[in-house]
Amino acid sequence: MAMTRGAKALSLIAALGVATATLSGCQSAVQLEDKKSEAPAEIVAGGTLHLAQAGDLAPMSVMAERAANGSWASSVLETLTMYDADMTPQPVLATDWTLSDDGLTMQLTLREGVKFHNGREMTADDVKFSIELSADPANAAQVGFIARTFTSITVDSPTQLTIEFGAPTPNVFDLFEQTPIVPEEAWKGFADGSSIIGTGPFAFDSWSPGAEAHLSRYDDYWGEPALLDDIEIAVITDSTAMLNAVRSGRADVALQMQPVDVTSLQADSSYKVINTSASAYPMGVSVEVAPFDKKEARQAIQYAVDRERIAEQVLGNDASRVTDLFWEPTVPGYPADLENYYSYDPEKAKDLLEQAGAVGAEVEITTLGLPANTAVAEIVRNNLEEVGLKPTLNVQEPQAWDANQVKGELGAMFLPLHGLGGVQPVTLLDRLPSLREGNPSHFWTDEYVELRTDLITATEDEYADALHALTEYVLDEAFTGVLVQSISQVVTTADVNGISFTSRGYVLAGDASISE
Amino acid sequence: MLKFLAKKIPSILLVLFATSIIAFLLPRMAPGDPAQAVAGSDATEEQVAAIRAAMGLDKSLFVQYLDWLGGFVRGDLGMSFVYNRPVSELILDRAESTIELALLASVFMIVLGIGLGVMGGAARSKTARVVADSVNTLLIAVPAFVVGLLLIILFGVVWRLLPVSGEVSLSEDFGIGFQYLLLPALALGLALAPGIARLLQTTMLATQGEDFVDLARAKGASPRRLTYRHVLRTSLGASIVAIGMRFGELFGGAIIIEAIFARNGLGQLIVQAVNSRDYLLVQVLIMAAVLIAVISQLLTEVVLAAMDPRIRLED
Amino acid sequence: MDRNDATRPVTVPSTQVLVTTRNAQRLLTPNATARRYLAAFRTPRGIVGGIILVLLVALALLAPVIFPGGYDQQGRGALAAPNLTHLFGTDELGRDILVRTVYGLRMDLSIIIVAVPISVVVGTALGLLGALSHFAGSFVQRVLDIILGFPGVVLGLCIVLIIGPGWTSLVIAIAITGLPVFGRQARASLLEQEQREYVTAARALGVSKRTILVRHILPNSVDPILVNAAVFVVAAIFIEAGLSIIGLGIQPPEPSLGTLLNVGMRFIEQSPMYILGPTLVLILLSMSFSLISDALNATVTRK
Repeated sequence: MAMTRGAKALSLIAALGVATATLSGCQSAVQLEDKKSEAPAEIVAGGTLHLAQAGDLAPMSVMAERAANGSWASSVLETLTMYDADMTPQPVLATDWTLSDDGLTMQLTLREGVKFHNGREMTADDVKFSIELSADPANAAQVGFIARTFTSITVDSPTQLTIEFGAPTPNVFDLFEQTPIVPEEAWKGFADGSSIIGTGPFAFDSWSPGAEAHLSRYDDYWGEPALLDDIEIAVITDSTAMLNAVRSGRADVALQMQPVDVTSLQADSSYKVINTSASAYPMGVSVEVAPFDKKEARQAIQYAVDRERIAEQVLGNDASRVTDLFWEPTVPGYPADLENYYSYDPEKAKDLLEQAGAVGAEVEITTLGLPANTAVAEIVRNNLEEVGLKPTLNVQEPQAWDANQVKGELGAMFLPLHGLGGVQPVTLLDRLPSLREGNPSHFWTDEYVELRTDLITATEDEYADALHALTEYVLDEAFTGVLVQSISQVVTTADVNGISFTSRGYVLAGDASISE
Repeated sequence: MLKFLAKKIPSILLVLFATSIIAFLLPRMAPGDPAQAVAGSDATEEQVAAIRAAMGLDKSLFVQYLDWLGGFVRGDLGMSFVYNRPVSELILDRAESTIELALLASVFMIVLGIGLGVMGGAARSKTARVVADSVNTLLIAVPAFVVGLLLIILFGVVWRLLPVSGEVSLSEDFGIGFQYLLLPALALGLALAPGIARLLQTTMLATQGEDFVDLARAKGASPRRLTYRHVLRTSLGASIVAIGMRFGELFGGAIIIEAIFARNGLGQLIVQAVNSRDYLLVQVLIMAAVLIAVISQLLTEVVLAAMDPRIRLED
Repeated sequence: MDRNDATRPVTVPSTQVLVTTRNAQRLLTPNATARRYLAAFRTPRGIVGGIILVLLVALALLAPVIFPGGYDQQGRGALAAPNLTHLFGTDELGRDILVRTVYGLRMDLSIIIVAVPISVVVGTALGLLGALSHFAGSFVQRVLDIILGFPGVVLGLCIVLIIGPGWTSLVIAIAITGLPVFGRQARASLLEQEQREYVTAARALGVSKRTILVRHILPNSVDPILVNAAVFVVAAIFIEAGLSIIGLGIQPPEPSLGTLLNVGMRFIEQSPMYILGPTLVLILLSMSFSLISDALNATVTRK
């Protein structure tokens, strides 16, 4: 019954003994890990790459361009074209494309000899199927709305496709960029992650939800076979745990690491930090709620916010850019002169508020309940209080926030987060909740519609002017305005080479290798 | 004893049934749903609605519950809305990790809890009692994640003795797996032990004033015999109750520990399930947790009865 | 007298030693009880615990006076280490951590002072229901089992999501989470007490169930409650932390010890001192309750 002191002592010693034996006798797990980080001597080909990401994979939503799939989707699945650094589409699965003069018909020529991971050759039927998947709302493709304007897709031959547009579609390459080509017979297997078949340099082996996934090299790849043997992806939700994983060598590449942790590794020369895609932190208001029905009030708050402090304290100067625009600088026709339309000017803000008769107004700021967003919201609240408003915060848990954003009901003032996804402004206009029809600002004037249409129908020469006009209008009306853009940063150990990223920030591991 | 256990089965089933209803309704009262989670934050209403219909979430709640119940009695725990896999498969995948953690953590919890409690309640040297008591007082106040963090710093950073991130299952490789398991289990055990220790210490100190102890002392029993044979034995009862109750807390504590040690167990699974409103997965996990709590309480009563002949297992 | 009264079959965990008196009857007049409890504060533990608690409460109450600027004085000097102007350093938005810790203490005390007693009283009452009705007692225990088994995260989340985030729902979530702890403990004490001679005697004499409960069983069950309450105070803060950090608790910028701990953990690499202040205060708070409950236990039970 009650253990005698002797028995207890004995069992403690026994336990210690087991522990010591395990630690010394058999292998030390720590030594194994250390060996992993002191990588194999000068091997360029072969080896396993270990990735860590903060959120679980989402293979059931490959069409939705979720950040969660950034670690693997572009290495396993491929698209028709891919943007280069200048946002010019480069051929991948499509080798040639011709647009008719009226801009309503496109002829696509597909690459030959491309094999899916299940052995079958890719044909134009697969491309048609994939585009139709994108158009189906149930697949939540963010660029699907582009495909829905197609009047027809005709398969002319196994390598030729003709698409008829309902109207000129300058952003068709955004669709091509983000629509993976998948085989019809395997689509069911995507839903539970049991068979994810693509054409990429890596095949998807397995996925343990919430835990890990495994990819291995596909030797029948149409291009240069990958250098790595396989890729292991671990899901690590806790930020400190992810940092530990990188530090201890358990992970070679870390995605979605917290900015503060990236900063702490940046100084260390055994790690590399790579900037990938951008996200925007806009500040929006509902033009139907006082005092924001007055333009002066809307502009006032844009002047009131200290964007520099947000960039510095919340995101880190290296991982952010202070800009009022929703567009990234790489976008063709980027209106650079409008970048800092609103400077930090509390005095001007106070004046404008007085003009609008909004001094002392009570404002509820709704924000997404993620750490960075909450910090941004606290700074904004502080700034607005300083210029004479009475702001309070309403931090919403992500699901609640998403549900409200989908409905377009975020209250008087709100601070969302939008991934910019490496697509054209024309696409962003319809894709970003803050800008599209039914936006939470309830802003949809005739002039706005007109300027949007001008941009969509603009020819190459007119494009920059049209973008400038639209941008200036949005800034002036101030129903929404970006506070800062954050730049996603990926951390790798110094011995990882050849990793690149799509404009969306997805990992391309085809040329990756681990070296001495 | 078997009769006792058999009589308990109806009430256990009742508890499970009640839990299933609560666990079914409660998450659905929260904003958002799995369709929203799958669609993503930038989706349109149309997209979310389409996904919702595909998931069958537009049927009435009553119908959905009955569908699930029907499958349940046939042994089918339901399908995850988000992962499109059977709930049972998802749980079994991760169960081993948490079971390992819980078992070793319980061992630590019991050993440390009782050890510290005895030291504080009956050690002969006053210093030992004071030390035990202070350690206990301190441990009670320190949060589990701070304990875990300290262990990580001490044994993973300052002295690189043990791995602090990730896991290897014991069935895969016992030696390596155990090293990965040690710190997390210790952290969890340390977090739960002080409550038990404190209770044991208190009851032991109180028992020392009891009549029967005086009697034993008068009869000439040695201090050690007094402590162990008489005081401790009678004091353990309260601690057994406390230990039994803490089995339920193991699951809750596992959530934090699994996060900071990057282990992929059921604790992480339920957090992810709640975050993505994966209703059926949440429901089944809740039922499992409650079942474990109920069973551990039963076992507590059984152990108590075994220890003390004055107690009879009666309903 | 046979300790196992055959007319009253119940499961009896052996907790009889929790409450011990040399004689079965002791003075239970309010005056005597109060004097006994106050005597606890003359013991060394009682003194230390009492002083710490008084200091903390005073600090919390006087916060607006000592730090009139409030808890949201943001600035450029973020994540500074402790120095002469900022004794605990600054946080990620440039605010003084000492100031925020004190205001956080204030917030947490306000939650604890309401939530824990509610949990104790309601939980104990539920647990002691078994004295009045055997069936009610068992039923309540099953309900408490369900609450206990419910993973804390999920329970708290659902409660708050349904009621709406903020102080009230936190108090309710904490109170409900604590019910099983006190309920089970009370029932254990109850079952143990019912076995004792004086209860059997009282029943034989025809004393009503309610009187037995209130005048005999209840006072003798109080002490383990104090122990559990001290432990529960800490648990309450962590529940608050877990919920606040996902936006379901105290809305920023208002600080609570829980949110400070959680945020501090994120910056543990960059600024390890961040978490030091709040952790220290948390430990002091919990220790004070611990010491006081020890003192009470010692004076009240030792005869």
